[in-house]
Amino acid sequence: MAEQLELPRPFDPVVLLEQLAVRRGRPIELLPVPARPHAPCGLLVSTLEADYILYAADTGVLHQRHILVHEIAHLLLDHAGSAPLAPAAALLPSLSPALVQRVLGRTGYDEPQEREAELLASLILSRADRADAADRPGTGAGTARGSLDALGVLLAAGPPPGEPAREPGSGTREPGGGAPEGRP
Amino acid sequence: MSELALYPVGLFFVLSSAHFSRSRIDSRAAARFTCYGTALLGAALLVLAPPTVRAVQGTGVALLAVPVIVLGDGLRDGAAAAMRLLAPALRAADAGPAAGHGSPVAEPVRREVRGGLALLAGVLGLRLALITAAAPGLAGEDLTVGPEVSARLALAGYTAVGMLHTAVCLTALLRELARRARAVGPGRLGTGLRLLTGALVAGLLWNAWSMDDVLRAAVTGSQDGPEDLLCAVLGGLCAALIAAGLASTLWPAAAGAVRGWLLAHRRYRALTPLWRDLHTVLPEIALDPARRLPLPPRDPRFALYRRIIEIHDARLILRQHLDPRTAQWLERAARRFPPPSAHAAATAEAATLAAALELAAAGTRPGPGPAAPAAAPAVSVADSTDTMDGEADHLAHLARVYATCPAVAEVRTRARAERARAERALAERARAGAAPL
Repeated sequence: MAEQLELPRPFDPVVLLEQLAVRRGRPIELLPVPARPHAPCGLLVSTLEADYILYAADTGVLHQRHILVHEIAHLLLDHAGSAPLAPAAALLPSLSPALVQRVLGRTGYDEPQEREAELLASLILSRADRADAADRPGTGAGTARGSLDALGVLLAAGPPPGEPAREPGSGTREPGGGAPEGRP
Repeated sequence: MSELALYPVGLFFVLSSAHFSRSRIDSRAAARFTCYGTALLGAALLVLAPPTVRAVQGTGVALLAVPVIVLGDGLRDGAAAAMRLLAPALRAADAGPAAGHGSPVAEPVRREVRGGLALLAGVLGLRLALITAAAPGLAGEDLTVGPEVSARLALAGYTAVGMLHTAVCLTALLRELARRARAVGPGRLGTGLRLLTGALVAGLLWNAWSMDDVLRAAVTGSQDGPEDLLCAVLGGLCAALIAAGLASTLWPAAAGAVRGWLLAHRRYRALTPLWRDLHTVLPEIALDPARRLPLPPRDPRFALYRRIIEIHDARLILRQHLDPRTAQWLERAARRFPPPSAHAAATAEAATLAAALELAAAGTRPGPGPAAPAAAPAVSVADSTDTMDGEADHLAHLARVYATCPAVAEVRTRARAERARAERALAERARAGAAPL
């Protein structure tokens, strides 16, 4: 699933969340909260009308993102709730317990659903990291990614477009003055 | 065994052609001629390999062997023509998209292509006429004609025409590739183009070897039928140089992948001392509890990501075990072992973690101290980054300080002593409570 999922580039979990909300036809609300002792650092609470994702906002950016994607993974995997309501009720006092349909909390990985969501989140974010790294400027320019590109890169290397062909020995270009290496 | 050497070379060219047919080269004409050239050359080598010709002879229709050799030679002529036509196709591609139909650049190129095809047709026709006139038979593996001078000259002419045509074609492409190599200058693309140029030089040498057949045919009336061992060697050299030329543009990607693997592995190992201590006390942070073998991870980038997240999870859990006295212990320890200013923040963070780990290991939480914050952050959020590499470097620095800083070690020792004292007090209280029983 992590390989098939269409990820925003550059990766932004909020954009992914918006795409998911549109696809599911239900709003998903993000609620940053301070981490509390003995409470999950991420919670997914679903009601009849909306899904709420609560995540620890007082941790590192990468960690926050991971917690968020972990909860998104629960939605992608359509997990049923199994966590107690108490932590959610403490963080969302205005929420009526009668409205709550499911609660999933990121605590440990004893529960298979938590393990699955954690693994999917890790795979999604690893893939996003690879894609973002590849998109960063200065990486991959003029570098063939496979032998198919290699042939194209080699055959396209030469005078820039429009330059008339010169006979051998009619002059040389300064080193590095050839066609951009990544042109194909 | 050496007779089989042509098969891998032929297969290399045939498979290369199939592979290149999926290429996304900008110039479709260049892609087409590359495909045709490699496919025809590969097919020619497979047909002209001595075991193929012997197999045809063994079918009982020995007369078929000569047409098979002529077919192989024709395929090779076609390959040479395709390589020659690659040169104008590349020049047309240089002119850019403007070189479409009707453009001043496209017309000479089309003329050159038409000329090349006409030349090929002429060469094939002439060679067919000459071989028909020579009417050779196959004696062993040699094409042999009768004692008449005309037959000998016809056989020599058949080979000489093919050789000259191939030489003209390869030289045309050689000039074009050499021009491009000069234009690109030094660097990996230049190296790649020079290796392709070298492949063509090997091809010219391979072709020049046919001169031996021309002379033999003119003097003795016989020549090699199928390709010989030297052809296999030169063909192999040609294939190797083409492969090396193509690989030259893959080196940076391959080197980058290896460098990335090594870097991820080094960062992963750098986090190990901190992660191991955290995991010993808080095993629940691990997603994969079975991973205990000291083997390098298969995907170090993924393993590194998991290690970063697990360290962060542990830091969150340890918040409930933060001891407010840590700041005092650290202040005293830092007076004895002052950390470099560059490590001050990491030292404070590492000392806090070390002390909290000792408390967590004892399963105790500190009571409210005089200056105890409700939830002192064990994570320096301001230092965190949103990239995995940045976070890995930040945590690697923390792990290094955690494992090596004397001030952190002193705080750890102090927390351990406090932990032992707390455990003793607990045991005494338990004994006192149990005494009446």
